[in-house]
This record gives sequence, C-alpha cells and structure tokens, in this order.
Amino acid sequence: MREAVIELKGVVKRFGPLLACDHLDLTLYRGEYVGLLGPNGAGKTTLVEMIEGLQKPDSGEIKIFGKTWSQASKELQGRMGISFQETRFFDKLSVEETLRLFSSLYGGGNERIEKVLGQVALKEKRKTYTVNLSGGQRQRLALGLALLNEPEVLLLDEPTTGLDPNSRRDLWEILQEIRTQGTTLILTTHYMEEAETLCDRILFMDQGKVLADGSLSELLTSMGLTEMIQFELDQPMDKTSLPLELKNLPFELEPGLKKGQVRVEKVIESLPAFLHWIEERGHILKELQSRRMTLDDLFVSMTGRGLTEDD
Amino acid sequence: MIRQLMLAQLRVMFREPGVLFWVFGFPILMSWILGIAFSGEGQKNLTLPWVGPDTYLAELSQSGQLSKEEGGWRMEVWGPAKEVLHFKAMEDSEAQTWVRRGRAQLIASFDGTQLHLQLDPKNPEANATFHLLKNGLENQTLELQIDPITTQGGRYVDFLIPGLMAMGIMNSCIWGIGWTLIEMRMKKLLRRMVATPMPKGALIFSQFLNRLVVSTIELSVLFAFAWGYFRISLVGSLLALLALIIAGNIAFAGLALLMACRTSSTTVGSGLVNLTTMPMMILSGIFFSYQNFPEWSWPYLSNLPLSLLADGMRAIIHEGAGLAQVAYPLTALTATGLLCSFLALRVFRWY
Ligand SMILES: Nc1ncnc2c1ncn2[C@@H]1O[C@H](COP(=O)(O)OP(=O)(O)O)[C@@H](O)[C@H]1O
Ligand SMILES: [Mg+2]
Repeated sequence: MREAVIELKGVVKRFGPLLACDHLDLTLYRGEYVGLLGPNGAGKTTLVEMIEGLQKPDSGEIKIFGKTWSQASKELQGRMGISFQETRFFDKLSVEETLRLFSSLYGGGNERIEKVLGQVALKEKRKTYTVNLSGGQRQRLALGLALLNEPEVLLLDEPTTGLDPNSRRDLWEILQEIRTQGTTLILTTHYMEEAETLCDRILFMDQGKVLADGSLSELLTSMGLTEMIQFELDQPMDKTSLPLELKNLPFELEPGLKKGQVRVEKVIESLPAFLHWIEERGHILKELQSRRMTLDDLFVSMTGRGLTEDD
Repeated sequence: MIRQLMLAQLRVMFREPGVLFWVFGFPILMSWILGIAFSGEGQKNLTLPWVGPDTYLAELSQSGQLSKEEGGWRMEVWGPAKEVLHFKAMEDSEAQTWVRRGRAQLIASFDGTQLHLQLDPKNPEANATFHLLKNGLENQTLELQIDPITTQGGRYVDFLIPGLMAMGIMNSCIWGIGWTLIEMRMKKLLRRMVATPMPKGALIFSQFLNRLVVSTIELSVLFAFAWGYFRISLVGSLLALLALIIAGNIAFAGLALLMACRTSSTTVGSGLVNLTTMPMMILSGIFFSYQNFPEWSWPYLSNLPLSLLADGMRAIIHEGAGLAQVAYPLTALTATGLLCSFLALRVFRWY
C-alpha cells in the first residue's frame, strides 16, 4: 500500500474576488515525483506555499505526514526541503558559508555540507560570494539549501524558470540522482518538457483547478488519439467530402480552411487514406507534418490556451 | 534625445511616492525646524548665566540698555531684527552645568573693569551669542574679555562627542537591524529562513547581540580618539556607561523593528530610515542643544530616545554621573525598546 505523504481536502484560497485555489482535493504519495504544470497565474505557487505552511488556506485541510501545520509546524519544517520561485541570499556570504548558516537553522552541523556541495555541483564555487553566482548556480544553491536537512518531501517552485537550456538540464540531472533516495518531489513548472522528463505524475493546473492528473502516458492516452497530422492545402478543404473512415476524426481548420490539423490514433493507419483523398479531389499538398501529441497539445485542447502563453 | 532622457527620469521621479516628499517637503520642513531653532522667531530663549553680583547690570539699566524682569535682566538688541538676551544671576557651579548641558554657551561676569565672557571660540553658537551681546553693548566704552573655556565639559567638542556616540548607537541599530530586515524581506531571504525550524526570536536576538558588540567597539574607538585628541576622559561610572549603551541598543533595536515591521520595498525602507533618524538628529541635541527650540518643547524633546541617550552620556562622561543618576534614561530607553519590539512583533510580516 502506498503511503500518503500530503493530503489536501477541499482547499480554497481566495485573493479578493480571485479564486487562486478552487476546492482542491489531492493526495500525494511517498517517493512520487509530481509535476505541477500550468501557465503563469494558475495557482501553482499558492498551492505549494500552502503546503509549505507559508500561506493559510481560507478553508479546507492540509495534512503532511498526517499532521496539520498548526499541530506540528517545527517538525514539518524540519522534514521538508523547499525552494522558492526566487530567492536571493546574503550578497557577501560565500556558498559554503550560506550552507553552513542554513544547516545550523535546521539544527544540524557541518557534516552534510560536503555531500550537498557535491550533489548540487558547487564544490568549485564554495568560496564564491553568492552575489557573483550565475542564475543556474544560484538555483543550485537554493536546491542545496533545500537538501541540507535530508528532507522527505522536496518542494521546488519553478526551479528552472529563466535558466538557459544547459543549466536546466544540469538541474534535472541532479534531481534524477536524488530520486534514488526515495524523496517525494513536488515541482512546479510551465515547461512541459520538464514535467515529462522528471515527473512520474503530472497535475495540470489552470485557474486554481487541477484539470488532469496522471502519468504522461495516462494523460496522453486519456485523449484516445495520441498522434497528430498537420497539413496545408492549396485550396479550401470540404470536410463533408471526406471518406467515412476519416469523417469522424476531429479535424480542426484555420480560417480560410486551407490549413489545419487532425488528431488520430495512429498516423500510419490514417495518413494513407487522407493522402488518397487529397489526390482524388485534385488538391495539392503544400505542407505535411505528423508527430506525437505533447502535453502542450493536451493543455491547449483542455483550455484553449498554450502553457507558456500569458492570457 | 536629451529631452526624452530627462522626461523619462522626471517621470520616474514623480511617480515614486515618497520622492516628492524628500525633494520638496523635506527641505521645507527642515528649514522651518532649523528656522525655529536659530532665528528669533518662535520665542527663542537666549538666557545667559550671570555670575557674581549684578550691580553692573543695575548700572546698565540706568542708561536704558537693560530692563529688570522677573528672575533677571533683559536686553534688547537691534540688529537686522530685534533679539532679546536675558541675564540670569546664578552660582558659578550652576552656570557651568548650564554650559555643559548646552543650555547656554556663554557665561558672563564683571570684575569691576572688564566684562568677562567664558565661551568656547570653536562653538559657532557661542560666537553668535557673543556678537549679539557685543552689538547690544556697542555704545558702552567697556572692554570685553573672552575667557576661552578649556576645561572638559564646557567645550563644544565635549557637547559633541557624547552626542555622536549616541547617534552611533542609533544608526547602528536602524541600519544594522531595520534596514537589514527590510532587505532580507525584499530578497525573500527572510521567509526562506523563517521556513526553517529556526525560532524567530533567535534571528532578532542575534541581530541585537551583534549590534551591542559592534556599537560597543565603535564607541570605544570613538572615545579613545576623543581621549587622545581632545583629552576627554570618563568622569563618571564605566558601569553606568555600559548599562546606558545596552539600554540605548534596546531602545533603537525596538525602533528599528517597528520601522521594519511591514515593508519589503527598499525605496520605502530608505524613506523610513530617514524619517526615523533625521528628525532625532536635529531635535535631540546632537549638534546643537534642543534648548534652542521654544521652551515649551523641551520636555518633549528631552524625552526623545536619542536625547535621553545623548544627555545620559554627557552626564556620565562629563558630570560624573553613576547608575543612580541615569536611572531615568536607563528605564525610559529600555521601556521604549521593549514596547516598540512588542508592537512590532505583533504585526511583523515574516513572509
Ligand atoms: N498575495 C497575493 N495577492 C493577490 N493576488 C495574488 C497573491 N498571490 C497570488 N495572487 C494571484 O493568484 C493567482 C495565482 O498566483 P500564483 O499561485 O502565484 O500562480 P503561479 O505560481 O501558478 O504563476 C494569480 O492570479 C495571482 O495574481
Ligand atoms: Mg509561481
């Protein structure tokens, strides 16, 4: 039986008229790597900070290791590792000194510091003032602080936002290594690739609600149709003249009816029929692409907006 | 291009709340306050201690230069504006205390031939008073003799050093605790630290201890310099001085907490720092005595935390005060600090 680590029941958080978290019910289990995926303003930070005890829900209940924040705040703080969307450190304190300071705040000594420095690959920067670190190094230091107390639950709020692709990949690697220790990870991001790479469970969030919950393949197959054909014709397309086997597929056409896309179960099964029909009608194919569906496509199909778009 | 550059910068300036106050309001406010202190308006009270028999003053009053008033004599001086000097007869020891506490900068006495004026020529206020007096006595064929004050306690620098020490404590706390907290909150470092099992009190207490150590060292260095260079020595009790340093740190740590209890913006923060320190630097008798302000304001001004601290330091360093004599400032400062901390921590924004 899987052990529940974090349980949310009917959690609501409002900012004035805005519902940042809308009656969330959620159970997260030990060892899970959970990706909270959603566009800016979805409510990810609010949700994570309520779990961290930094914000209070207006109603509903949050239990971590079976305990609420009002029951056991010091214990929970000691068992969690957190990093915010953006933290800056004491400018003129070196990496190692910063780690030592926070280690003492967790009631520990200096014994874990070497290990953590190694984990987050900052051994060479140990003497560098934090103000002189690059963005990626700073995020790794923030992660290092989160790892100091050997947390059972790690909560990272947009750890790679604003980083270049290389630094992002470095961080992913670090997180993959930690995975072996049975840590539970909750990570927020608006990069679907990040959730796809790291997380075995993905929660789609938008406007304070969880729209979908499952593994990558579960989410994709939940749509039934997992592949996609995109095309452009030389003249407007008449959907009514499609043969029977294609007629019921969800064709989406852009205005002008020349350009469009269709989700299919298997490209190799549907494409020949489609090409045959084009030839028969005397159309000319100007562009053709086929690919697997991505989380982004799923998100668009559920909300009508892309993940990285701002509304 | 220059036009757009200027426009952009002006816009930024005018849209920043607070900036308008510092650019326009503050200078006006300052000139108004200093105007009260240094012009005849608002009932400036220039009272000069007169030591010895006042027969000479009586003589002057015959010629219409002076008039008798309650508790002494009054002299009207016509310069660019009318100013009034008061003479009050008193014992020499009392006159010395007046000077030490900055209540007067000049002591007058008459030895039968010369009018003796004890003052510190390095004190700008004393010089101003001297010239005023000289104007008032213009048509007297009288020799004015300046006796420079050289003993500790009466010189301007004696007035200045304890005040600067008090100001050192204030600045150390306001910047070291208040500003640091605001900056930590702005960087979200505060909430990151509070998210650890660290007791919140530990952070505040560590800051307080730091300030205590830093300001004690700072004051020791300043005092050592004053001793070496100006021959200022500690007349009173070292224990009382240390107690006052602790009480001062408590008071200003409390004020710093109160100042930093909500804001996370460093712009607002620097405004708050100025708003806390500037008025006290002027009103608390650091560079010139608050007795330049109207007499009704003295009881208020003397109870400002910085005044209590500075006056207490002066009493210990120059007048030989011990713990018993500074019991009032010690209690008042400690109480202020505890009250401010209590209020601040009730509304403190940790996240
Ligand atoms: N302190 C706050 N006051 C008012 N509105 C807030 C506050 N914090 C967040 N919000 C609003 O709540 C919504 C969710 O915010 P957030 O949880 O930060 O989203 P995300 O982290 O997914 O980008 C946003 O619309 C945001 O503007
Ligand atoms: Mg966020």
